[in-house]
This record gives sequence, C-alpha cells and structure tokens, in this order.
Amino acid sequence: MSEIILETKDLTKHFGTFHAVDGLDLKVSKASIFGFLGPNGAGKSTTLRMILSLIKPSSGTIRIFGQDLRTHRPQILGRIGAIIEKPDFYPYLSGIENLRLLSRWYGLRPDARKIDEMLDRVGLSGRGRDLVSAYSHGMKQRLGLAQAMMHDPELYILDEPTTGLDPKGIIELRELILDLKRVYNKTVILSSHILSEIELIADDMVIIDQGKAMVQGPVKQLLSDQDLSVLVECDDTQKVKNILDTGYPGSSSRILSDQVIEIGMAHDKLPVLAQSLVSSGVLLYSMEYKRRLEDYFLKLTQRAGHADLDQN
Amino acid sequence: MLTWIRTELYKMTRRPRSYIGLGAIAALVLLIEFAMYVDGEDYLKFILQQLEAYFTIEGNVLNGYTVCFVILQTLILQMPLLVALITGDALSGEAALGTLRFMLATPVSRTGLVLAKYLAGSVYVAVLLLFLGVLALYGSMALFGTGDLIILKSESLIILKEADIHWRFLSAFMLAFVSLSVIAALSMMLSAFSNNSIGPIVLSMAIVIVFTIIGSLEFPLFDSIRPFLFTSYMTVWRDMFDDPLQTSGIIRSVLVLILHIVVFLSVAIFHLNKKDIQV
Amino acid sequence: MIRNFVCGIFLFVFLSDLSGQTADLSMEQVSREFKKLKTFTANIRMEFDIPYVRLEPVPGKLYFRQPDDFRIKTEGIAFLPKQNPFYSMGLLSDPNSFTLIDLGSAKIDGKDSRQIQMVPKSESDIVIGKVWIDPQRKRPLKFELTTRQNGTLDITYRYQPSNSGILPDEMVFGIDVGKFKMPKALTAELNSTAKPVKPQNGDTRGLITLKFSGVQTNLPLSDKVFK
Repeated sequence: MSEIILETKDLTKHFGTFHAVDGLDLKVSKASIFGFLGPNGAGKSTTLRMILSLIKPSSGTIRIFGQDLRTHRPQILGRIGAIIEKPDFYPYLSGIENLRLLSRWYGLRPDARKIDEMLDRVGLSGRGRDLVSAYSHGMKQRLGLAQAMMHDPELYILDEPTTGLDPKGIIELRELILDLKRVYNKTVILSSHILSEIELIADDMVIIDQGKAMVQGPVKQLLSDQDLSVLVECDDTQKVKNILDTGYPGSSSRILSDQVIEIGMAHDKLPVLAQSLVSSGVLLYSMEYKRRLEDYFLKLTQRAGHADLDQN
Repeated sequence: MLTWIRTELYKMTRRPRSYIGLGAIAALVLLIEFAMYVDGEDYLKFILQQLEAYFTIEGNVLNGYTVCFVILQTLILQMPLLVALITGDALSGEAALGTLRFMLATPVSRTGLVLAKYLAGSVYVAVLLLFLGVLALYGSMALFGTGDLIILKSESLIILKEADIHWRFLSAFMLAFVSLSVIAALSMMLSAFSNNSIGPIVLSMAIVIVFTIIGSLEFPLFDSIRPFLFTSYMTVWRDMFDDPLQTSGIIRSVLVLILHIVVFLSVAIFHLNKKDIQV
Repeated sequence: MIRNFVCGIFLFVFLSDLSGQTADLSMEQVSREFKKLKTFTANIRMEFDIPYVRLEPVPGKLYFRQPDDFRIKTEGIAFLPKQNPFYSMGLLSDPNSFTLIDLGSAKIDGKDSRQIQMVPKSESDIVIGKVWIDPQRKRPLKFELTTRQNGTLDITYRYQPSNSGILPDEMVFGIDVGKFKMPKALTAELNSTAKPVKPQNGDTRGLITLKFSGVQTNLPLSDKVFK
C-alpha cells in the first residue's frame, strides 16, 4: 500500500441545517492522481476548501502529510498548490508581477528565470508582461497553474482546471498533470466535470453526492465491473443486432443508424464479440467506447438531471 | 510580516485608486494655496472682521502657518474618505476579486494578514499625511513665509508665536495619523465582514459622518453620547494649537483612539478567523 | 431774592470761566510740551490682557511724527487699539474744539492731578472726554474718551520717577472688546471635547499695555517708515 498523503476522517460541514459534507472519509495516495467527482452541490468545493483551511469543518479531521491540518496549518499549506474554482489575479498587475507577488505569501522571492520557466510550462511564454486584465479566461487558468507550481508543492489541488481552456489547452494540461505525477512524483487531487479526462488520467477517484462518498477506489477497478457501452460502425447493423440477441444473452443493443449500432455488454466479452462479428462476415469499420465513467457516474448519482456533464 | 507588508504596499503602489487620495490632496492644497494667494487678505478680513471692530491687527497674519492651518481644517475632515477608499477595500476587495481565497490558502495566518494589511494601510495614511504636510506646510511656508498663527476657537483665540509653531504642526500631523489610523482600522473591520468592495467604504464614511454630526449638534441629549463617539477624539490634532497645551486631554484622546484601533482590529481578526471563505 | 439770584448767576459764570481758563492753560501747557517732539521712535513691548485672547507679549518698534503719522512695526501679530496711541495727545493740541471744564483735583495712581472734562463744541467722534493732567510736570496721567464708533476708551500714562519728559514709560489702554463668538463650523471645532482655554466670564474690557524703552526724539524719519 502506497503512502497516504491526505486523509479525512468523518469530515463534516454543515451550514445551519444543511449538511454540505457529511462524514466524508478520503484517502489520497502519494504520487497519484485522485479524481474528485460529484454533481453540482455535492460538496466537492466545500471539501476542497476544508482541505485548504478556507472553511472550518464542523467535525472530523483532516491529516495531510501525516500532520493534523488544525495544528500544522502553515506547514501543510506551504506544501500545497491549488486552484480553487477559478484562478483570480490582480488585474492591474502583469502576469509576471502577479506570480512574483503571490509567491511572496509562500515566503519566496522568485527570480525572472524561474518565472519565465513557469510561464513556459503553462504555455504563456511571451505574455507574462501583459496586464492580467487583458488575459482570456483560459490564459488566467494557465497562469493559475503556474502560480500553483511556483513553490514546487508536493500536493496539487486543482478544482476544474480545464475550465475555459481550448481543446489544445486541455490536452496540454492533461500532459502537464501526468508529468507532475510521473516525472516530479507529485500528488494531484483533480476535480473536474470532464469525466473522460478523469477516466484517462486518474489513478483513484471518489464520487460524492449530497456530501457523502458514494464510491472510492482505483479507477480501473471501479470501472472494470461495469457494462461497456460501445458504438459499432459496420455495414449491417441489423445483422449485428441479430448476432447479439442470439449469442450474447444479457447484452443490449440499439440501432442508431444504418451503419451505427450501440451495444451494451460486459467488458471481458468484447474481444469475443469482435471476433464473431468478423467471422460472420460483418464489415467492421470501428468500435468505440462510449465513456464508461460517465455512465457509471450517472448510474451512481441517479441524478442525471443535475449531473451537468460536459459532453466534450 | 515585513514581507507581507511590503507585498501589500507594492499592490497599493500599483493600484490607480491609491493615487486618487494623493491627487485629491495635491489638487485641493494647491487650489487653497492659490486662492489664499489671490484672495487671502479678504478671506482673513472676513474671518477676523469681528475682531477688527475692536482692534487693529498688526503683523503678518497671512503667513504659511495660517494657510497650512486653514488647509488642515478644510482637508482633515475629508481625509477619512481617502483613507477608507483604500483600507475599506483591503479585505473585501480581495474577496470580490477572488484573491482572498488564494491568500488564505497559503501559510499566511489570517491574523497576520489583517495586521499586514492594517500596517500597510497605516503606511498609506502616513504617506498621505506626509504628502499633505509637505504641500500644505512647506509649500505654504515657501509661498507665504512664516509668522505668528492666530487660532480661532468658538469663544476665544490664541496667537502662537512663530518660533512655537513648527513643532506643533509636526505633532498635529502625528496626532492626525493616529486619528486616521482609527478610520483605517474601522474600515478594515467592516471590510472583514463584506465580500464587496464598495460597502465597507460607504459604511465607514456613513459612520464617520453620522458620528460627526451627532458630535457637533449641541443638543444636551447628545452631550452624554459625545464621549463615546470616536470622532469626538479625532480632532485631537487641533489641541496641539492650544496654549497652554492640555497634555492630559491629548494623551487621553490618543489613548481612546488607540483603544478603538485595538478593538476594531480585534473584531476584524476574530471575525476573519471564524469566517468560512465561500467566495 | 432777585439780587441773590443775580449774584449767584454771576458767581457761577465767573467761577466757570475761571475754571475753564485754568483747564485751557493746563491743556495748552501739555500740548506745547508734546509738540516739542517733532518725531520720536521707541522700542516697545506690548502686553495684552483681553478676556478671550491668549497672546504673549510682543516686541516691536514705534515710530511717530507730528502731527499724526504713526506706525508700530511688530515682531509678530499684535492687537492694538484702533486709535493711534497718541491720538489723545493730538486732542490736546486743539483745545478750541472742546469746552473744557476743570473738575478739580483727583488722584491717579496715587499722584495728584487736575481732572478736566472735555465736551466737543461740534459734532465729532468723541462724545465726551476727560483728562487727568499732572500739574507739576505738565503731562497727562490719564484720558477717558467716549467715542461714537469704539465705545469707551481709557488710556493711563505711567512714568518712571526718573522720567521728567512728556512721553510715558508705559501706556495702558482700556478698551471695550465686546464678546467673541465664532460658529464652530468656521473654527472646525466640530466634535472637539477640548474645553475653552480662557472662558470669557462676561467681561468685555481688555487692557493693552505699551511699554517704551530706548526712546529717541527728533530724529529725521522718512515717509517710507509710515507706509
């Protein structure tokens, strides 16, 4: 078992009679990417704010780096880099000035080379001298990442870091987060609405709803037991449907068009199906997963109406 | 702490709003000096007409010290606004901007943050007063020369000797600093309760205006209230121009003002430490 | 009865005329002495005892040239009576403007003096005046003037025993200074908890003392001095 870098026990926060977070137990392993999921109003933001000591828990404990947050707040926060909801900066200062200024709260006096390096890593080279008031939302998001990295923290808490990024930016961010883990051995808690991103890069995850953890564990393990939803592109969708109905009890199918059929079946049966379709003379053009996590998430929360998923 | 104060000061120097106060002071002081240069004799004649019914006033009445005193009387009542404009925004402005969330997620303690912001605010107050002092005192001295100073009070007047004035002005500026620091602390306290930038500034000014009006209305009913209004002690700078100096009264006023600073800051610190940052 | 009445009238007119002649003589003598001073300068120290004013003594220099050029140059702000301090002396030089009535002898600061009533013969700022003259030294000891514009003014002249001249060592002006009241808004005393330094107590008389030293007489003084 790898080292636990963050652990909450029975973490609870209520605002009056409303329980935003209700007895939440979390465990985040070192050098992992931890997906933090939940529908809007599930308590994600409140939890992350409690971890950053922005909100005081009503009860329960938070231990980070083996220390209690209540008693070791400055030491712990000095080792965390965070973007909460949206990165905000002083609009009357340039990107470089913002980074320099905000680093001082961590006791740093970064030189120009270090700042340039950070700006380069987040793709803001050459824009550092511009006033932040002239930045787009995506640029602010990138600057937020640079700011979070300035003091080389061990734990990153990134709340919706892809908001406002263009597709290229999302891909770059994904690579950056993976680098943090693989190259720099950092831990990342990643909260995102883009479930495909979490599915792609997270090692572990928790899904919370109404302040409670619905499931928690390694992503692969949690998703392996689930039926897959696969879009099959072929020359004869009716033939495929017949094969499924006769040879694969428990599977489901739905013809979407002359050439596309959506099928649902266990993950381990998929190679056998592919083989039998080919041997039956079906011309297969493609087989594509629909998002497993998305389905899993919706099933778990049972609240598709408020899941507010990003369909990218 | 020094780094945090420097950080706050750096932000102040880069905010256009910080220069509103300096610009307003420069404009008003220069305007008053110009007006006094052109119409000063008539102005003083009007002010002193009651006395001139009985006396011939000899000597250089329109001198730099007189002009500086007129400027102080005119401007010091308005300076709380200039101070609140900066300090009333200190915490709530960061909350509105979203940067407070960042700051409070760093190793900086909330108490340290309030103190750093207050001390930076105090530096700003000092800069405002220094600027005012240089322009109003030394500018007027350069323009009008020096001389004795007539201090008009509601029921008496004091003429201070030229050699006895300069130190009084310097002390008055220091007392004005303590008074305005109360405004800084008050607006900082209100700022801790708010998440928008304008509210604490407006509320600070409303409190100062209401207290000042209650304090200046000479109804017997308000006599018992007046000692409990901090604004009653904010004119302590003027007591430096009494002769003889009422030292115990000045010390008492300063202690009351300092007590207000401590109370306002304590409330700000207590509240911010309890506050959940949800914005 | 009629004889007694006529005798009485005659005696009154005779005595009045006699006292008027004595007063004229005294005034003329003082005036003559004063006119001998074509010019004079003196260092002065002005002291103030005015109910609502706190003003430390002010040094200065006084310049005078007959008949009524006068200037005080002060080292700082000073409050002076509205009249030229030697205005009273000037009155003596024109005794014909007044009907003078000798009111007999009186003591001023322990000194014997003749008390002379001055009643203007024509319309003037002075409603009525009174002067006390040292008959031996032929110099005034006190004036008391009631004026239309400035109320009652009294001027006491004090001389050192060694001073035999007409210029006093000290002049004390007693003047009506009224009451002083300024709106607090104008004095910016809003909210002040400070108590008045010097309560007025209803007293409206003020004293201004001019103390002379280093008197120099009959030196040429240019017009510039008096501008």
